[in-house]
Amino acid sequence: MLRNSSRSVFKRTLASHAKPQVTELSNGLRVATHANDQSASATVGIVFGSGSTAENPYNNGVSSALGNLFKSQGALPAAKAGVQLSSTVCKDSQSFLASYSGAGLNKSLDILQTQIAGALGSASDSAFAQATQQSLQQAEEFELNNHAGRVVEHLYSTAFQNTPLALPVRGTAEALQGLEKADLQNFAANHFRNSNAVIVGSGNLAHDELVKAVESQLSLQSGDKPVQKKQSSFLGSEVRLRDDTLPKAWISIAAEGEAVTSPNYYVAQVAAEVFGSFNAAEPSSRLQGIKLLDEVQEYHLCDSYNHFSLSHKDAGLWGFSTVISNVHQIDDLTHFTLKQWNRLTISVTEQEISRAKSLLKLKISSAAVDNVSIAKSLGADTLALGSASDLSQVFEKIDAITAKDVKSWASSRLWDQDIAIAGTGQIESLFDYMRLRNDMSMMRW
Amino acid sequence: MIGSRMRMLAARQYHISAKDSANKVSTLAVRVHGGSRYATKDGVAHLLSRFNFHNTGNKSALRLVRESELLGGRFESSVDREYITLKATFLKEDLPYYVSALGDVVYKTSFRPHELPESVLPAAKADLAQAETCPVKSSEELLYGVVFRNDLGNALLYDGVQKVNLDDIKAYADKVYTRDNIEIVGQGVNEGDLKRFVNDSLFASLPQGTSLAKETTPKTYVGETRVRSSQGDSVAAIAVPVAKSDFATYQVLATYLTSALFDLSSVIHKAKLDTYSNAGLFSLYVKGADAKVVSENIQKVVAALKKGQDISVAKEAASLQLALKNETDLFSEQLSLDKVKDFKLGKFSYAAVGDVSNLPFADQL
Amino acid sequence: MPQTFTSIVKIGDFILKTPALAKVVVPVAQQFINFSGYRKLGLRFDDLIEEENNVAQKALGRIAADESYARNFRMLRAHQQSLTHHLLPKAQWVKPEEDTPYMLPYLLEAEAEVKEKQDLDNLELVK
Repeated sequence: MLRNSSRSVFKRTLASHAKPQVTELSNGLRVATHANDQSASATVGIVFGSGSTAENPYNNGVSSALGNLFKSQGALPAAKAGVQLSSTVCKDSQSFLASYSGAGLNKSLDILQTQIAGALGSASDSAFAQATQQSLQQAEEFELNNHAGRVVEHLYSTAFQNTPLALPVRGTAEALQGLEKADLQNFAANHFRNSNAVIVGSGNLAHDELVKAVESQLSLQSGDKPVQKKQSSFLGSEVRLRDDTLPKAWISIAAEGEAVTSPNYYVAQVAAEVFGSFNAAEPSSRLQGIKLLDEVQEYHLCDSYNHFSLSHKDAGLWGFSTVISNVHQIDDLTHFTLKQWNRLTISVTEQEISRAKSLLKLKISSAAVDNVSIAKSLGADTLALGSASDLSQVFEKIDAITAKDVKSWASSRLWDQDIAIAGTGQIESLFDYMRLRNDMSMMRW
Repeated sequence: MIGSRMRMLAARQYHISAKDSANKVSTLAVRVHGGSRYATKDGVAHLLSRFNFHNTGNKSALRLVRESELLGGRFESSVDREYITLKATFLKEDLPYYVSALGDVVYKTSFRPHELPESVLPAAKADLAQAETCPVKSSEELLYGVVFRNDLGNALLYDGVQKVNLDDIKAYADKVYTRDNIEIVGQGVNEGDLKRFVNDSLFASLPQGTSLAKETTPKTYVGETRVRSSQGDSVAAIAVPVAKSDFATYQVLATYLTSALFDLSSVIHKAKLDTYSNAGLFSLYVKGADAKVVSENIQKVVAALKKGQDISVAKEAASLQLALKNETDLFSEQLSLDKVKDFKLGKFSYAAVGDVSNLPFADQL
Repeated sequence: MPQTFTSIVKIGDFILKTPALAKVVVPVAQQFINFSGYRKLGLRFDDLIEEENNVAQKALGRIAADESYARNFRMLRAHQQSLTHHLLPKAQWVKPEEDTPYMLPYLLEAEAEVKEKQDLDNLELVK
């Protein structure tokens, strides 16, 4: 009723609303754009379908080093031309992006072309060494200071052990120490190819213009798409990095989730949003309509938590990460949380689902507002799904989800399913695997 | 007819602006000249900002959160030196609800006595604890204090040094939440709709008041300050007050120093220009775990800046940076960077935080 | 809780508003107060309210600091009197005009919060 009263008042569409467009060039290279003529800047770039999953335990971190090479070598020409570079490594993809304002398209493509050529070998030996060194530093810094992030990476490594998704995106210190110029070059030569790339553009640019410019200015190597040797597969398991010198406990627990291509992709997202995220320091966060919060708050079981549904090319994780200062009641937190997960299968209400759907729509639509993140997700979507997802269609899909869908998804994915557990800090009272695994179902309800 | 004319007049007294977009999500922000520089007691602005979205005469905080999450929206309130900003992000079709909710907060917050100790103070304390773990933020705070002393130099967050009670907060709210002192901005919002809904909301009942915005150039000082701290890295920072006419130069300078165009950019943690209605502050931070290295680096950077640098090469990069910032920020600022040429560092203020025994003094720079 | 303070206050208001009822009930209530004798121990009526529950704890946390101090003092004094099997000297008995409901408004507010939370937790979606 809340919504109906306001919705009828006002509904408008905008003429400038441009849908994402994809064109495939004769050489197999795809160009995808999501234009927005109200924007004062634009972002162009290349997204390759190779991230940490394309690496192996011996060259793990090579994508990160190539990203650093791109940024450090391109920094000077980019700054002179008024272009900003960024590069992000994900599990399944890596983006090399350049943002510009006004008539910077040609200059940006030039820089991209030069830097990709640099990665293939034209950059100096010292530049390669420096980029690898930088990646090593970043990986060490991450291990040392980002406990929450570290726990999630270890969650991946135990959940998908011995399969591609296990490798951390920043690489491991051991692998990075052994990396040489040839490793980076080979990796670039095998993966930075037409068949494995999408040229992306977002912001104030025209699709046709970009297509033309790419045809005349940008050329990548031809060749077949590299084949992934192994499928990622989930294995219930745990990893503990107990460290009582740290002030708190960081824990992450997850069951197997959905792949990006899964028809249940959004169902899993809605299910995660039912529990959403919580931050005890934020007054409004404590008032959310999440049943789990009643127990969490009465005993101050955690400082914050975040439920996630992380999806990748061939597998995903569904679960939560949490930061705990009440380290003697970790068992209560995990018990109550997993019991609430049980409810997704047996008694989640329409009202909870409706709330989750609204918040998911808000999350998705407010995540991609700047051109760089739009370009990144455009590239990742095009690589994974063949086309960019249009927000209106996404909203329709989310709107169609009911409590029944969530229940049937949860009954196959969560109810009595194996879990992966990772934790660091003061985790003495984190129960052993079987005790936690037993909470994934109930004898009676 | 006359009724609607009158209402239109009322709308004109508000500074309302809106930019529509094709996005599915809208953002609505109410910006109040009520930041720490206007504070009647240290920290009162922070506490008022934290009091936003608590119980109002029409709706409890709980109901607001629960209704809003069913619609798909979230609220946040933030404080800086100039503004208290109330922001709502929500799915596009729910504009009327959020305009009226924000109007409610600004006009009718009930300021129940128990909310202060139960909810507002713990949140404010968490903000302070969070800020204190960051040596860069601490040194920024110190630099503001040294350069402006009061006004822009007031403490941003509530630390309990001056006791603030509920009546102080209420009086401060009455002072800053007035029609002429606030500005409403929508993104992804139709301007006509926004004006109409503002008139139908409690915003229309706010007293007229006067704008507190300051236009005369504040008095600035040069000084140095040092704070021993074991929280995180050591930081050496310098700051220069900037007159309005020099904003462009320092904007370009900030970009120049952090881009590859400047040889020493890798040792600079952050360089930025904060702009306010009547003044600005340029600040530069060098950070590191080893105070001796920080000391060497800040000396190198300051020496290079004293020698003078041709910063005109960074004009394009700076204008891109501005464009990118304007795109995501609700409140855009325009600066003409054309005339920027070179820069030479003159007098500056200095702050050292961390292992100060190994950090230089201002006269050693 | 079988009876909430909200409902008690509602019934009380109804009785006071109905002259016929008030005529009967008010004198009985006065008599009850006299017989129960708590004023002779220096207590107020709100001191007798059961406090071992979340609502009362919340209300107690919210009353003004001086009220809270005075309440504790009255309770200590009453315990002492009870221990020694003495009533207070008559001059120190709580006078009817002093026996004000200092805690009731807070109890009502806390109860309203609990009720609102329960209502919102159990919203039904209307399509």
